[in-house]
Amino acid sequence: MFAIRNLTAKQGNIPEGILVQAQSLYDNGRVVTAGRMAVIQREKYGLCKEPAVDVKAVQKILKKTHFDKLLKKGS
Amino acid sequence: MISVKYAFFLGCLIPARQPHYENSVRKILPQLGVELVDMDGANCCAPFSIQSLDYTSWLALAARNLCIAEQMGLNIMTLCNDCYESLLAVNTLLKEDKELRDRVNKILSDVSMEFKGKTDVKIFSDVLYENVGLEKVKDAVKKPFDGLRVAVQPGCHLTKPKRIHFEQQIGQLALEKLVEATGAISVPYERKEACCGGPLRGINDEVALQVAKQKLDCMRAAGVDCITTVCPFCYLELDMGQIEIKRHLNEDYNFPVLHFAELLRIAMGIKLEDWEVKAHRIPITKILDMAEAK
Repeated sequence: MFAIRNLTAKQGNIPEGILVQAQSLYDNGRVVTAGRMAVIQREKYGLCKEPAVDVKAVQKILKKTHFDKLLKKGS
Repeated sequence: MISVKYAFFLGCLIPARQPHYENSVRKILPQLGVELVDMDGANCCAPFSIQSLDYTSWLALAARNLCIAEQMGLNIMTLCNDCYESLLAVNTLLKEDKELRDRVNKILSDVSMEFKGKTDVKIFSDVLYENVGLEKVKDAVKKPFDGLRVAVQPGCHLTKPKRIHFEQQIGQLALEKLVEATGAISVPYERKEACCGGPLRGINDEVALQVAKQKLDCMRAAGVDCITTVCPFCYLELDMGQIEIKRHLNEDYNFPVLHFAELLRIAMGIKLEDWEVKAHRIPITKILDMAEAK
């Protein structure tokens, strides 16, 4: 099942909503990121700072798996 | 008091959009003997949508998180069904399949990491059920919800896929027992194990709403007072979804939706702050009033 889906994605058939998530994963290491308001709110409400993502490590992995090329095909 | 320690995997959605869920967990678990240690540098779990795009990327990203927990010398606790499914599935696959593990480790070597298979993955409700125990949870309840009829929304990945979850955890049953430990009634209803519709968001919003509506109809038929879940996506779909169903399908349910951590927190007598109450789209006033009346 995943092989078929992966093949479809390789051909550039990626739903827009999923592509947005995937691009965010590559750019930020997260599919959903905290906006500026969320950061301010966390501080205001006494929550600890959101743990940082090692984005460089994420991008290294995703380049090695050619995920970056997949994103280009889908966009 | 602290008897068990976990690497705390927050995921993406909760810290960004549902800090009230995170805050409740951070408030109650230390009181129940569970210490949480944040996972610095952790990335997205790589949910099933990423699995559909590229299986190897999914494996490698989830494995990187597992490696961080291994380096911390701790097991992982997640708050999210999707994170749970990804991390649990990859952990199981890589432990079982040496060839796959070698392939993933070759990728991870670029970031100086190696998956060794020395960590386990739990979800919040299982930690409460297995590590804290029902008796201790019951002892912590100061304002029991006597007679409150609660619909448990387990969410798909608390129990599925069966090949990964089989015999590894007690998922839905644990959540139902925990709800009952607060004094509430876990109400049986049709389609309990069905999807909330959330994964269809962004692909077909109309069908997503119809799926949520079917579920809410079953809950109404069973006469529930409110809904609880451990899944942030189910929470979003059923809380915000009720607003959208009212607008587009002209159906009004008005069921308060609470993260189980919030339900337990209220029962433990730890008040929600104003911003946490306001985070709910369907007002939770009647639940708070019930606890206050104790």
